[in-house]
Amino acid sequence: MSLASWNKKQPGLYKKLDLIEQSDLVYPRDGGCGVFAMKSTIKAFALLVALTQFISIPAFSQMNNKSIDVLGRALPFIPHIKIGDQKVGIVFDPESPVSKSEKDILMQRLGKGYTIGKYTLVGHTVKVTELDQLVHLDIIIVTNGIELFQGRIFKKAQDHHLLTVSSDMDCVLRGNCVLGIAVSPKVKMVLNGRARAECRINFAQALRLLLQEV
Amino acid sequence: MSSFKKEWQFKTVFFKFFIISLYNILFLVNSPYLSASEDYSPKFAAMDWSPFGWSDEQGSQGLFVEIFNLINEISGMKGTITLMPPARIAHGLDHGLFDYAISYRDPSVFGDLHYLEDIGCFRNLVVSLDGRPVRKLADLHELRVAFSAESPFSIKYAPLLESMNIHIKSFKVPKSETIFTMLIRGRVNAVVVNEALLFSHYDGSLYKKSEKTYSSQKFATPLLLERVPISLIESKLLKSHRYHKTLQQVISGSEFRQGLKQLYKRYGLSSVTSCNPPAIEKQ
Repeated sequence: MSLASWNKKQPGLYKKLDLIEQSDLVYPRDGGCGVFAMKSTIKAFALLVALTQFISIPAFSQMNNKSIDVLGRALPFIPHIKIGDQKVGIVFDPESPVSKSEKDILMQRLGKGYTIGKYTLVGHTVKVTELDQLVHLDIIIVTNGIELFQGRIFKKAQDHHLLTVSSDMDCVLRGNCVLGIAVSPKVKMVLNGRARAECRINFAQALRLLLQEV
Repeated sequence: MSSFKKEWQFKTVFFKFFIISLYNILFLVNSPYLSASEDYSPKFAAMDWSPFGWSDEQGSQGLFVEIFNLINEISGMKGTITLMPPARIAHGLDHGLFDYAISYRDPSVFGDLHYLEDIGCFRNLVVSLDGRPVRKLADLHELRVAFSAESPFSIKYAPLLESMNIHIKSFKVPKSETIFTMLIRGRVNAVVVNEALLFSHYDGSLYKKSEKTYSSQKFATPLLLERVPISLIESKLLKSHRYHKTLQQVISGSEFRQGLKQLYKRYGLSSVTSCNPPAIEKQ
């Protein structure tokens, strides 16, 4: 059963989860690996655990053309990103099928350059074993399935003032990605304020009206 | 035969050289760099969106026109100003049709221009009716929203909202005069305006454009979208470089700053001469 159809059958429950996501969970600010503290009750924790399997279905978490559109439309609100050509590094692991398939999807759209507004996003593939290449890029897309490398990618991004984007919300919650973009079941942007500050990237106030900050 | 050929070749080369030299001389005489003489006056452009700029029987008026007048007054320059939409301003600056523009600074609207200096700041707002207030951008979903056709909202916000599945019914208006009438009469649910326009609606002293007939309709607390710097933009193909120094002296002088503060007060803007704190949020 897909998450979307499950949600339709369980609207009340999903709403409750959404509420929990927004208010009750306090995610670590120290880059801890998936361990989270919780203000709420054990009941809420059990509910979350039960739902995790649905949320982590890759089909819902990979970045796709829609995510690229959302990213492109958000760029005018990130003054650090200048208009014109932007080199987008797609970091992937050739050993991970999930990561590789996401890379292929993204390169189909970005490989020859994709113009959106006054920006042209040009995709460059970067293997997890060749992270030194990141220093020549402007935006980094962290594919799913490379959790072990997220910390090192973020370190590079931090050193070189780069925007890290992913559909892997765990990456954002751990503080290894600045911006998370999910397009299913609904379009959502999540910002990690601490990661943003560490990478010294400013976001226009207006964009913050549209995204959820953790 | 051979000497005739050589002579002919020499004459041909000499003639070509003469023509090229003549062309160069004519080019230099007409060149903007040499025409920076006494009779050249800088050309300014400003956007025709009231209360920043509008024309009536008394000629060009508005905040940006008054800033231009202030520059002329202090510097002694005899510049001219033309009002036009932002897209034409950007094109005119790119092609050297104007030397300077007074407008807001937003690269996503104007592109990569040479912003000389920020000289002010205004806020863009979403104004809605009290009965159906817009408190966050997501509230705009499926609402009828009026805004300027070439505004940051049209160029940046509407596409972003669309990509996030927040669908708005857009009413792109060419002139600001009717925008509040549309809201008051219920043709739209919200309007995106700058604070000077909202001030002029309440104040009514700047120009007679607002409709008060349906004044029983109360506005909700406006939603702040962004702070936008007012900037002096210089053409990269500036025709008279001697004005560059003059202008920089003028805008850094206390007389200009004092004049600006009085102008901003009249137009309902804060007296700051730059967006500080900037449009960018601080941690």
